[in-house]
Amino acid sequence: MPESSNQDAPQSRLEGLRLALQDLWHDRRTTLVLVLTVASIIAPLMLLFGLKTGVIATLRQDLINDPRNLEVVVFGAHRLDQRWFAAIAQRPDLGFLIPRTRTINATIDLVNRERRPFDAIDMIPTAAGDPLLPPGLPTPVHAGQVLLTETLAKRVGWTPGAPLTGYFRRSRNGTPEHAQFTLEPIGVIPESQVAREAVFTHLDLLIASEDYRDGLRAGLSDADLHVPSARTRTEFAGARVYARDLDAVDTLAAALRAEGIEVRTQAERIETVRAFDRTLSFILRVIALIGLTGCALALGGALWVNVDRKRRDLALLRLFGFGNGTVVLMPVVQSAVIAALALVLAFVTYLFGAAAFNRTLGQNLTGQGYVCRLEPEHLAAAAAATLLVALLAAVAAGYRASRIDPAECLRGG
Amino acid sequence: MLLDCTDLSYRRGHGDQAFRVLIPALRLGAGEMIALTGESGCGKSTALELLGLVVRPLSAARFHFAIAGAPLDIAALWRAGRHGDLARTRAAAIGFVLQTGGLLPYLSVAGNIGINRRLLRLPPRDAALDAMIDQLQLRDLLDKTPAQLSVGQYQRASIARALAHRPCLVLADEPTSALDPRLGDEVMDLFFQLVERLGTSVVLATHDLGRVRTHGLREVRAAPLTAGFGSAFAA
Repeated sequence: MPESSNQDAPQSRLEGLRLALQDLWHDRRTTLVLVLTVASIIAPLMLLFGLKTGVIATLRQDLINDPRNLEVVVFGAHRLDQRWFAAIAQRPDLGFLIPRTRTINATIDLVNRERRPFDAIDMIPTAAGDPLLPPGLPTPVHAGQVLLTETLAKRVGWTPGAPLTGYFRRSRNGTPEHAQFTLEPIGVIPESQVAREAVFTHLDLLIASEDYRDGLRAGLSDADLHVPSARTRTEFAGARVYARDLDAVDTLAAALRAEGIEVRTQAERIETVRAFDRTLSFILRVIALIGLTGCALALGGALWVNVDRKRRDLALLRLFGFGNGTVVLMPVVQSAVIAALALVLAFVTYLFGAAAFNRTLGQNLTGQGYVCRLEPEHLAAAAAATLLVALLAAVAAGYRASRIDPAECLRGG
Repeated sequence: MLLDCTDLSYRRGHGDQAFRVLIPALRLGAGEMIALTGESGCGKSTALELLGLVVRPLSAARFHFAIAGAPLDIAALWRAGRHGDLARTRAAAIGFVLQTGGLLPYLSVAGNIGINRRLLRLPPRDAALDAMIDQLQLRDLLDKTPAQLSVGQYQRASIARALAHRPCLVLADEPTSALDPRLGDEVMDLFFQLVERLGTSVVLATHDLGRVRTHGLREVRAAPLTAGFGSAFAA
């Protein structure tokens, strides 16, 4: 009598898994050939995708690093009220927003300590979060504080701590007048961020300039610069608008255009990168499809032949009482293991290849200086695709195995 | 009664060329040993396939197999397509000794011997199995692979594999046909000593009538069918 009859499907599957692995190890030369075959298909694909991702990421990073590409430039003079600003500020695609006055009023005359004048310097409103400002640079907290661009600072010969004298000029009834006040430069914006002469000021200084030139102010003194005025202003002629990221530029610009506001963006540059990305992605998808199909056929064919070669062993297992599912599972497990090993080998190959590419070609690039790179999610996708291909390849072999009759090993003698 | 079948038949092929095997009546008690005899090609292996729950019978008026005293209606299992139950019955209750052994090449001798025990979640070894291994002189061969064994060692290992999980029935298909007569006799002597000691029932397919007589086996002989192509096995 049998000592036990508690054989069950999970135990059969577990034992089948063990046998599948032992068979792979026993037939390790064949296994190695299959692993190398699959890895030799996957590794170049990973390198190609790495190159594509790296190059596109570098181009994108270049675009992102230049905040001007995020700007939605508002053209013309408008009447943008507080409600409009509040509505735009709520948009998820917005990165930075600050009102600006009419362009004609947005200039200032400066005089340095040597009493040398510098006329009609552009004033640009700024605040915390301004994408044109490098991280760590303080922002003006009142109208008396300004940031100088590096080119302007050089031209006026500014030294840290030195004040500048500012002038707004106007003509009333044919009589020229001017307001004189002291400005405290609190930092310099590097040329890499803004490559022109400009003064980045608190919005209040622009409002004060406009009010003074429009004749709404009798005069303007140093003391006036410390009195907030932005809250009392209800309408502005324009705004500095920046999108949250490159992908948000289009939607934000479209929203402004829908309100009848003429805007311009660096859409062409962005679209060029996108088109490059799309073209490369398409080419690589075709290559990947062909490669993975070839991989599936090669692996599937090898597994099929393997099942045929070992059909007597598989028939023996059926004869011993292993379930059909277990016998079908064996080529599937073997295929998955081969794919996993191939994936590891391909990844190691990719790391070496990527390092070589980055070392030799990366120096030619700006930005982060790599040309070949895969993110963890790309690697996960590669692993999933490889395993999927392996499982698809094993389907035919599994079907073949399922047709094996346990009687074959008896008839075969 | 371990095995009880009536009008058990099987057909391979179609039309005039169909080969039929008929077992009109066969009863096998616990510990009993019978021999299916006949010329080569008479259907002995096919009869073993039928009795080993490997092929679906064309017809079966009665086909019962008793496991732990409880009769199991094999014909009903086939009709219901319960292949899992049939496989489980095969794993637990039947051992197979094939003409050429049938060891898995990627397992060691120990791995081959233990395969059904692992499937049945039995302990890898016990005293009875150790004794059997000693009796079959396999102790020093346990770590070897089948490819490293001689023909005699290979066949002894396959006998150990067939008996290791203590099945109630062993089906042996010309187990010594690949051995020279002297070695064949030695292996068969060991085989019969073991099954007698374990109380295992045996159905042996053989054309060696001398061996049948020597071991006092009940003979179930293949006779040509009166109509058609095939054999009927009757005592």
